[in-house]
Amino acid sequence: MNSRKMIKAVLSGILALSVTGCGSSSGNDAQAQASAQAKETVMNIVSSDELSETSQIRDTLNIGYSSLWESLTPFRTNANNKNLYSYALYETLAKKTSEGEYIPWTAKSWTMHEDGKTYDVELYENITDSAGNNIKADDVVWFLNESAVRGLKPSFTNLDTAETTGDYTFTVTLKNDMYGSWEKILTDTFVFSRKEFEASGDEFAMHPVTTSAYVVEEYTPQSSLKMKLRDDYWNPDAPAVNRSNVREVTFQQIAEASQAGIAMEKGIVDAFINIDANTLKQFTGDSNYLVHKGLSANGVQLYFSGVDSKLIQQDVHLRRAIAYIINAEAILQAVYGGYASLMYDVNPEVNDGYLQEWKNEEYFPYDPAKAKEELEQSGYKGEELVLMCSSNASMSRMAQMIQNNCIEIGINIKLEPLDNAGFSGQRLDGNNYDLIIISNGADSLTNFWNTRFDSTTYKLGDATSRNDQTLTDLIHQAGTHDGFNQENINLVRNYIKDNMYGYGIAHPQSLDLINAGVNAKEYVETSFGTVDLLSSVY
Amino acid sequence: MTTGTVKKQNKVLEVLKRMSRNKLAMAGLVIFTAEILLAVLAPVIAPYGFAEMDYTAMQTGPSAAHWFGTDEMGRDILSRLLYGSRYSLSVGLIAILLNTALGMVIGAAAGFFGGWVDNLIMRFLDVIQSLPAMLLTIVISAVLGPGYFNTILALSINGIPGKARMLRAQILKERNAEYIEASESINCSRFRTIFRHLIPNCFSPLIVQSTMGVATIITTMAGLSFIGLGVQPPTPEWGAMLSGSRQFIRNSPYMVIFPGLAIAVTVLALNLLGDGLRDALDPKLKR
Amino acid sequence: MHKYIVKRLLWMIPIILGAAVLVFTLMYFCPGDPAEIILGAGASDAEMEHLRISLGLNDPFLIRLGRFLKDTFIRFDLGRSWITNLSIADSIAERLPRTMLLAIAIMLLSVVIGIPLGVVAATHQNRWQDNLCMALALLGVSVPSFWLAMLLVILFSIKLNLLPPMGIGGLQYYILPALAGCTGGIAALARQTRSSMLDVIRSDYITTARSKGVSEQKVIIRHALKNALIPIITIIGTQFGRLLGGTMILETIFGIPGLGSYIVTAVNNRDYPVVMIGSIVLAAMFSLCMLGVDLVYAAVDPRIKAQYAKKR
Repeated sequence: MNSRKMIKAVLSGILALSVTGCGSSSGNDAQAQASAQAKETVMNIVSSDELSETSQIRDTLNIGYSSLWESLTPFRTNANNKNLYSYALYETLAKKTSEGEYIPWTAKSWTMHEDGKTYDVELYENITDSAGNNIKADDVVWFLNESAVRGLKPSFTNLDTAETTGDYTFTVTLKNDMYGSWEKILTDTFVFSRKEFEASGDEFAMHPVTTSAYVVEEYTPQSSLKMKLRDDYWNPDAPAVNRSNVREVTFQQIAEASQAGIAMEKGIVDAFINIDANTLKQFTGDSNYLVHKGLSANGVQLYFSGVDSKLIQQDVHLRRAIAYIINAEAILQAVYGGYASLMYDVNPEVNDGYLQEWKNEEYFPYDPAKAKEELEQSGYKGEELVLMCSSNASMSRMAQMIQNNCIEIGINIKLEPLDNAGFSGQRLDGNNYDLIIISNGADSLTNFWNTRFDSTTYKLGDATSRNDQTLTDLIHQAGTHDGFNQENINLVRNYIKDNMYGYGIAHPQSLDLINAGVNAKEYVETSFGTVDLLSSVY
Repeated sequence: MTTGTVKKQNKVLEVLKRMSRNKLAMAGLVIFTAEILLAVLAPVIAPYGFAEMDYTAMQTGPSAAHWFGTDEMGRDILSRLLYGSRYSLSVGLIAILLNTALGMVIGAAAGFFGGWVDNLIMRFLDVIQSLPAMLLTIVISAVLGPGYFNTILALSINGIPGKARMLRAQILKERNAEYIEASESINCSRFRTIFRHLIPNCFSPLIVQSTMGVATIITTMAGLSFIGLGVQPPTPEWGAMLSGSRQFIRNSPYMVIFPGLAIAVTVLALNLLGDGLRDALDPKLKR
Repeated sequence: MHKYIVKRLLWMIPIILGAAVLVFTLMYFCPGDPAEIILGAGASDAEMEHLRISLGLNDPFLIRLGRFLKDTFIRFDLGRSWITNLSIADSIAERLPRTMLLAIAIMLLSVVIGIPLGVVAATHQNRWQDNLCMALALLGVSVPSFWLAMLLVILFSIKLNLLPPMGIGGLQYYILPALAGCTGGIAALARQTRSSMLDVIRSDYITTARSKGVSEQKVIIRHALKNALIPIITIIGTQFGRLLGGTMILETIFGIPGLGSYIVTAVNNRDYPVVMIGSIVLAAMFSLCMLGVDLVYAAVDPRIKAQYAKKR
């Protein structure tokens, strides 16, 4: 699947052209004027293999995030897992580049057996943590097995066992041959000393002993995380793309969207990663700021409950009617200020295996006539459908727009916005809703299908309590290393599309705002669409 | 009996007369009455529906077509504020009625039964009051979940202890009063006598507390929305509107200014009215 | 007097126990399965069941309540957060001073602004000064605190460039949050000062003092304000107690990692132990504040002091 690398290359070319600090896609007059006046401030984004080998070490950098980890423990859920500080704390077995390639990192090499689910791994022998401990295979094997037991990240659900075979070698066995499953493990396995972890008393929550290029200087939960370069880093000759070029970096949590803008205005932070689109608007066209636009790992999708007794599950025409009546173009503007693109599948296009040809097919464009036609063929008689969503600003905005669209053709929607905990507690049980908006992503089509549509994944079926053996078989067939080909991929994709089990609404851009004063010579991107300010060249 | 009513009428008139001299309180009364009127007439005067989205006019500033501008989804802010007054005011009023009723029942039970019942109730009120009001509201909101009636319920808890205590204190005062014995001696039911004296004595503090209570509830509701609880969209409740548009404060300040003003004007009016009522009802301040 | 203090302190025990039971019961009915929230969607049924058993979530209500009360009040083990695994006692010890500092700053501003407003209003009863002062006092409390906070940030940080808009650090970081938070205190204090001053002003001894030719300013400060002080102290004490648990919105807006935002985040994550211990701490702080108020009472008012003395 090298198509992905190509797309990314083309894409970053386009991005490099369009990041002159204007939100051109929103088509707002005032904005266009502002950007016309702006000076040309070019952000020099380079691909990971073109990055200069040498860089000055920058002294300090303050980076804003809307939320930081609530504790620094390496055993975590997927929540908030894509950020710069994660990799500044713990080394992983491999690193993924923005082009989607996996480069060996603490793992010197790995080989897959013919069964597609057994891997032999060899670690570098000179890995040390900030307390001077040498990291051995035992440490990593323990983390892997412990992660499988704790079940926090989906990446480890396919992990059967890990076994030490030597001081620096081990073998990992997966439950199933599944394309993309190993790669998730490679990037999600944090490397650290088990001894130090157990001695810390709080599972590294406050003072982790790091293996990466940084040590934690100061950590205030819900506020800030200050890190400093280590002088005894084990891998000083790392490839440029993963080198750390900032001596002292402070990550600051600024939860309020409006305060994020003010922190940038006042220079409290030099950059804000994943800034809210509506906050960003204030800076477009201002030559003092750079805007980096990348493709985020997650799209936003609408899923339909799969509970058999529900009308919405029984009636494909009703589901298709809803897909046709959603005005995705308007949602892009209202919810994301134009900083998002339409989707052509439930999968976001960054997922490994995504076929570019899908973009040429029609994917349920806003069409009231067709929607009415579908609705007439359905058995819908004005029943109230429950739309569940998270109660944060963007999701509840999107839900209101969908509700408003649906009423156009007489479909009654009741909104059920829930707080964090309420939402994660109810989303897997399709009895609680008819429709649900979720922001989903995965590294590959297989991982995505597995978490969303595989009826064997959860207690009640798939992620909306659906039990569809045909689809599950198709997913399994396309999921193996041998089966992961265009034909099988299309079978799954079309099955989901024709039965309208889920509809991709919008793929938001990941937006970073950078003070032009940061002035890096070359910027490099992470694998999840943000700019990597630690490895950029100064 | 007839002389009694005349007396009462006189008293009411007297209070109104005293209040009419207080300009701030009168201003509060006029504003609040006007808002009730606007709330009732919202469907007639609002230029658009509160959920009506115009995709061609999203996030546009005040204009002839949209006096207060439109929000990020192209909804008319003026219309939403007009409809919103129905939710904001009704949540405030119903929550106050609810907590007054509950407070009266609890206070009356404590006052009449006395003894261990009184003790138990008072300790329970101590417990409730020892917890910060905002925290209690947040926890109860989280337990009940979002929604109009759940929000009313969560907001009504906080006023209960104060009202119950006040009623209990009045009852205890009345119980020992001499006229009770006197009325008992002429065969009047003790219960009835207490109530006949109680109601007028409790009336003034209650009305003052309630007026200001509505004000507090409206601002607390905005705070709940800020935290992500409370009445949920697309209901155009003022607090929810304000909280939902707060991130636009730098780009489109009007989206934040108008709902904020709506709340500020209403709450200020209620507070002024409450203060004026208290002064007018306070016998010590008679001049 | 000592006896009284001890008695009052003992009285706090049932109150705090009651608060613990109340919050525990409320959280018990909170929707959302903590095991699922802690583990995330990827966990298998067996893993969730394992966690539920280890957290004791499958036990009946009374057993869970009993265990919680025993751990907290008998073993003095405040436990760890379910989400972060951090010691709750440590977290509270780290965060409480920030919330305290904020509450003190708010109270100071309220006193400095609220009491003079009330005095001026009372001494000019029913004149324009009265109206102006009371309208000013009520204006602040009439706007939602987060709205006021945002406007203040724009004015003082962006336009005037005077104060930091967020974060923690020196005292200057607490000025804007205190300004945004002091409105409730100002209104309450101005009202109370005005009405108790009015009561005192009309009383006989003030008239006597006046007739003796004591200057008006002296009358007001020495006599009227001093005698009106008791109800004002009550308001200050109560407001302070309430503030400790009422700063969550300000903490969120201004990025102050204090006790309030700690508890709100915990409610959001169904981090039961944090919510419960946090509430208990707040209830205890509030009760202590009220005790403090009573003691100040005694110190200020000789009549009350005499009462305690008699009891002894």
